[in-house]
Amino acid sequence: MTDLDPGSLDPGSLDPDMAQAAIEHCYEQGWSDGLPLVPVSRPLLERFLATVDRAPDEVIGHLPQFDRSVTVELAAINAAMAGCRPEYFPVVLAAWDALVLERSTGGGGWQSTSGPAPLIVVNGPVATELGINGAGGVFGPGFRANMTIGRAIGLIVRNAYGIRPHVLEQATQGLPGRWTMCIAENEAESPWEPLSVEAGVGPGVSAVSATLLRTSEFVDNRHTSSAEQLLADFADTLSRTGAWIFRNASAGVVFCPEHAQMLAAAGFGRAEVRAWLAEHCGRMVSDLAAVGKDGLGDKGVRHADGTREAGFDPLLASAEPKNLLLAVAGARNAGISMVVRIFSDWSGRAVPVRARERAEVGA
Amino acid sequence: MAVNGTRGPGSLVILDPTDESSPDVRTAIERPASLDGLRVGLLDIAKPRGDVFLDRLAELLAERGITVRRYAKPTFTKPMPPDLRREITTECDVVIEALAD
Repeated sequence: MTDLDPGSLDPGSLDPDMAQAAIEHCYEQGWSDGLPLVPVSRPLLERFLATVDRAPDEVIGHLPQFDRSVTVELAAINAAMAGCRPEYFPVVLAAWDALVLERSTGGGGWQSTSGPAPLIVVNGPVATELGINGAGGVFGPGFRANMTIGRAIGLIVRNAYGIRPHVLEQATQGLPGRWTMCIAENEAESPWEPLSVEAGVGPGVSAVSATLLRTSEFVDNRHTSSAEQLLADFADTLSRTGAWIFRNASAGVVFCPEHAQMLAAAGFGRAEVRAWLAEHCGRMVSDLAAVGKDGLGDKGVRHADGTREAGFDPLLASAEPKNLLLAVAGARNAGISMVVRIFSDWSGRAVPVRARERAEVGA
Repeated sequence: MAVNGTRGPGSLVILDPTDESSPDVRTAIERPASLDGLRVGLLDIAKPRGDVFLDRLAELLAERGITVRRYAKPTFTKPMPPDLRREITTECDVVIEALAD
């Protein structure tokens, strides 16, 4: 075992046959999500651990139903396997910590029939430093940091918790892009304060916000100059009955810069957008009755009833951030935004990225 | 354990990404040959319509002369509260758990 810095090696001296054999070994152990893994050596692990000021045996997640834990060291091994560079690791840990704040991840959320996907939003200088894309093609693919940070979370769930499809994971169909939705907020072109600032972290501080999603759906609207018409288009997509299974549902919008700037120019801040959508998102009881979702049981699960009086059921439980996450990302080349559907609700709290002081890394 | 790793091809030690520090395999009791004389519990995990399934199961068991005790988790989204687990293990020899949706 030697401490090889891959960047210093002559490409002509690399041994692809050995690399392939190591990759196959990882497949045989059942560690892979289906794509090749980076085999992790002790020196590589040490480079990851050197980027943070946290004890390797610190427990950062625990699931009581099968008594499995995630430690900083296990997270580092999985992040390395996912293809992260060592300097991404503080962001992986912040993303993990942000997900632990989610009500749904402490119970059966990772095992759910819905197969929920983390949405990871990175703010602050770390996004530029690591090359986390927040502009064109933000939902990928094409960017190492975006793809591998999200994948690291998936491998931690798979390997540290042992939650695998057909075993402890009950996803009926799962979700396309389940482990790849890591984006930077496009702060340069956003008219609003960073998401992380709204979520409690100071301006200029690198931080990660995260929640679990059930799906995402685009809204393409390029030909109105009315902020209200634009918001009404979002309200229509947000209010679909198919995704609505409890009394209320939480959601989010990742606005493209053009849509966000148009709303801001009309006087809408995040709070005003939220208030407008909280008022307008929802369906008539008759619409819900037509799809067998008008009834509300004790636990708030929607079911066919047919006896309710005419009325309007609001989608969102409140106009608070926990029920409607708003971020800005993508290119300023068209009016295309993404509606996302939150699995339960969002903690509303961002987690600062805590990297060890740069001078110490590799010391 | 992750620190030990596994020996991969050649002399490289490839680190293990799984949490094997605590066993995740628990010993299940032997499957009983018959329910005669056993105390049977029915556990509703609180998913919608689990009660429909368990009600029918209780009827079928009653036809065989077996009475059941009924239990319910407060929510399917969290593990069973320890008190409920103790209650069931004290009062039952076998338990049937229903997953419905």
